[in-house]
Amino acid sequence: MKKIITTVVGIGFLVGAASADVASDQKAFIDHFKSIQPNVEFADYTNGVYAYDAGSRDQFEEILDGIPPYEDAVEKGGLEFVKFGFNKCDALKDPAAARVKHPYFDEATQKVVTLEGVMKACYLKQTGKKLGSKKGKIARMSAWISDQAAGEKVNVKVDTAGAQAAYDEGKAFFYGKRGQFNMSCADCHVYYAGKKARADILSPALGHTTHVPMYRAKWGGMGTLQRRYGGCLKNMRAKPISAQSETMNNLEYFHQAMSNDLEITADRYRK
Amino acid sequence: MKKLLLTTLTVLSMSAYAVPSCHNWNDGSSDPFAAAISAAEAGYAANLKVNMAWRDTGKMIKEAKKLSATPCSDAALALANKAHTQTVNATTQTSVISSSPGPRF
Repeated sequence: MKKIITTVVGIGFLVGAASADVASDQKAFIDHFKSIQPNVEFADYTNGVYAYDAGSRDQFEEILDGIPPYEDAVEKGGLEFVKFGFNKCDALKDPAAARVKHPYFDEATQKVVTLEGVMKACYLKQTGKKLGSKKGKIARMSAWISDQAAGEKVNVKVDTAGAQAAYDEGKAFFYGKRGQFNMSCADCHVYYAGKKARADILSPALGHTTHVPMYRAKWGGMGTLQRRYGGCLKNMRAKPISAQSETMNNLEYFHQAMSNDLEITADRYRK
Repeated sequence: MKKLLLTTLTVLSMSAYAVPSCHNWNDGSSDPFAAAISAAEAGYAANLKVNMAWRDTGKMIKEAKKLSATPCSDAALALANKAHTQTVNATTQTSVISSSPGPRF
């Protein structure tokens, strides 16, 4: 009996420590952004780089006031959601809940499950075909799913030892320097957020995941968060890692957790 | 037996011409290109395994192999060495990451 109590208390302590770790990580993360941009409210980080630069924000708002270039794609994504039978898959029956729930750590497989990962599995089940991970159908449908959760808050839970390990791996990736330029994700999007890289302003990592999948003018279309990871890695002259691989999913898990409590938005235009 | 010997010798002499390297095999040294490219390939494979490979290393290895088809190509050796250096630097990055994960603030 004594052993059981000790074990249960031990596990409880570990889980508690894990959750506290994420909360303290996020606090330090937010405090850093407060220190570099004291006038930007936490809630405004849902607008990404547009929270930092007035000129860019004016352009952004003008685009939103007109016909945003992603509108047709998102609408099409909604039709495709039904066409490909996503509403018949348990994990996606309630799209808004699905967006808020993912990514999460699955204890059975000991892996992070992303929204796009579930969509790929559902598509395979319904059509017998494989679905891509970066653009096209998956981005359109995922954007439509995210639209259903607009206004809700990012809420990534890291509450077990396995989840903590995945989170830590994602964190190590985020802060680790890689590629020929020897730069980490954090170098641009944490330490130099708001500064210029050539003509562009570097976006803050806080809030990055609130508006994905996004329409990027550079792409001329929609793309998932992991498509962007691939592009960033290429820019750093590192070899991109396959989208929806365990490494990329762990990175997404950490990245999303840092935006906990920020609102999910349907304004998904980026330069 | 005579025929077999003749065929073997012919094949061997022909394959000697097929080796593009102008390396002098008689001085007891190894082919610098072969050594550089195999080191680059081994390093690249190790970097890929831990998701730390650099973007252009694979292309460099391919290009170096292509260039090595030209006899006495200095460019092939230079590129193979460059690719190898990239893999060494990527390996250093890997060890730095594992020793210091986490933010600077």
